[in-house]
Amino acid sequence: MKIRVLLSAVSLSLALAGCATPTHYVDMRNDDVAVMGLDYKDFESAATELVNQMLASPLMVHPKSNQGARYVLTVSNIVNDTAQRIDTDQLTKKIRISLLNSGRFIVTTAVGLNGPEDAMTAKSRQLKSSKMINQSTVKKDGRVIAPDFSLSGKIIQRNNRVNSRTQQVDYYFQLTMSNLDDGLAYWEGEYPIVKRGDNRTVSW
Amino acid sequence: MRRLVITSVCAIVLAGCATPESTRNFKLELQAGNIPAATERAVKESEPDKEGQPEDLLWALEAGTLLRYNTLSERSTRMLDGAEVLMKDDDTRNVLASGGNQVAAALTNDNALPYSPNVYDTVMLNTYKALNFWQQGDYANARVEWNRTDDRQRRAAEHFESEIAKQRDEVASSENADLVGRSLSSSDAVFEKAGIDVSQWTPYAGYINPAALYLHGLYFLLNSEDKSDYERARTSLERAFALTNHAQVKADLESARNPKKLKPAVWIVFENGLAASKRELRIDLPLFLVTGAVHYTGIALPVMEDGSQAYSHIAVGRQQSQPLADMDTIIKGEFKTRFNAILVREIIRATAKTVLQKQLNDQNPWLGLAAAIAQAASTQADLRGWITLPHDFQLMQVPYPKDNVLTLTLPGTEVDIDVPLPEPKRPVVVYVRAINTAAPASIQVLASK
Repeated sequence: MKIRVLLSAVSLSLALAGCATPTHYVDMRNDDVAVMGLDYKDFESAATELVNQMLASPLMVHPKSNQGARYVLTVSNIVNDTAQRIDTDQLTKKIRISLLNSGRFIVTTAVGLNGPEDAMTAKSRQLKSSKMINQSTVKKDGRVIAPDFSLSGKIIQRNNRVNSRTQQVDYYFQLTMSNLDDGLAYWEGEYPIVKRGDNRTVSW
Repeated sequence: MRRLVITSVCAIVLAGCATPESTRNFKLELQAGNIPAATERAVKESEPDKEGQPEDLLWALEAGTLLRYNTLSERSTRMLDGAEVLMKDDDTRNVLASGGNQVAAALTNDNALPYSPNVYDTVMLNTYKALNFWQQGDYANARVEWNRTDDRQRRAAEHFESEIAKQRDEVASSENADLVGRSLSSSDAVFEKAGIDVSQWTPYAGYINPAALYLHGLYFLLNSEDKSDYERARTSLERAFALTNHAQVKADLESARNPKKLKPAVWIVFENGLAASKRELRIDLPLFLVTGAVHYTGIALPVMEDGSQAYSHIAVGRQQSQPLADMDTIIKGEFKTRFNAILVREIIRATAKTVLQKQLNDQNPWLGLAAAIAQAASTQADLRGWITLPHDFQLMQVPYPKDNVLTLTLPGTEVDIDVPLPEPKRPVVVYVRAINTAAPASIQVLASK
């Protein structure tokens, strides 16, 4: 009797111990698991939709685009106004890649709102004063191209209660492309994502 | 069989043991003003694992608060992040899976259950994290934490909606009687003309933390990125004013309604003292005096004891801080909503234990005695709570000192505290936390962008 109790206790504890979640890769194309926060699927769908809208806008076509001319873009302030600790680069990087691949835009890393994204462009000019460097290979002044457009925006989150067991979270991805010449917003886009889930706990 | 019963009773008794020594020592260290020792103890007791994730929610909250007191903002945030994960675990806990704990609690006392955070705990958690990020100048993450605090307040209002509805009905029914007596001061008239009805927020008093609301509004007033931030500040400051009627809150509300570049000034927020805590109320009935069937029964219930202020106010020159929010009201208000359930559980528990004791006594008088002792030992109230929360918040505003040094005076102390302020003059918040007169006050400067 005692041995039976002991054995069943041991086997039960072993069974429970084996219930840990094993690590595995996620097939990103067939992943339908949703979370209340923002994950890679949300950034992917927001970036794709917003870029399609940008490219479809007639105002965003360079007058010399058939000769291969591109608009130069700088990324300005994208505010994360959600309750998630995300990096807004998760959104902007995807957008920049798509715009670059479209052949109509190119991003400058030498000019940015809070300093250049890559300070190397400015720093490499300082090599002019270095005796060690072959001066004919040092990049010249007056060659960096100033941006035409600035990309700014906001990611907003609103939480609502549906009923005692369900809450709804609305995310709004809002972007604006401002023409730096005349200060006008040549393109504006908004992409909402709505999720409903458990109200027992918070959405982050 | 008998041996099995005795050993299991002993095991249960040991499991349900009461206010642990660590909590008692922690309170002694706080009282003595030995903050470094208290911080170390809290961090150790929170049982952080290899990655720093704490295992014990209550100690994690205490550790986070004390690390914040020592201006170790990054460590404090990490500890409080860990506490937030534990809170989420508590929210989503599967009742069936926690069956073992429930059984233990039914046989001993509520201390066998893991600490279930109060609603005010959750609001203060995110408020402290937001203040940590603000102190570090990490405005992006501060904004995220303020958004979280806002959502916690919304959930708090939903949690207490039946209590708030009752208060709203009381206000409405007493309105007719009050109308004659309620004289509209000139300031209220200004708001009435602007269509702002501050009275709709008064039923929330006692359930929503006005200090968290005010700090949320103040952050977005001082660090706004665009119009929507001023709108957000206005909403929070409106509610904070309705709940506190504080002159500075009114001034800030007017700034939020007519946004323009703010003149450099110093807002002083004073987090004062230690919050209300629980003590045990025991009713022990030595039944062996009247009957031979049962030796003992008793119940132990938690009751709220007032918190204590560190200082009555803080002063700059002749100007003194005015009370903004009282944590005791919020803590006691929430405790009242939980008390009935605690009482019912304790009565059921006492009844079950007494019945078990009688049955064991019928079998064998020695067993009955052992059971009586076990029952007496395991009858303990759950006195757990976040003790390092403040007793009250106070607020004042002073002009930016010409020499960039702010001089604070705490009543009863001879030494003034000089706080150096940042050179390009801009709106700043000087955040002062005083636990008691024994420990030195903690002062942080929260600069605006």
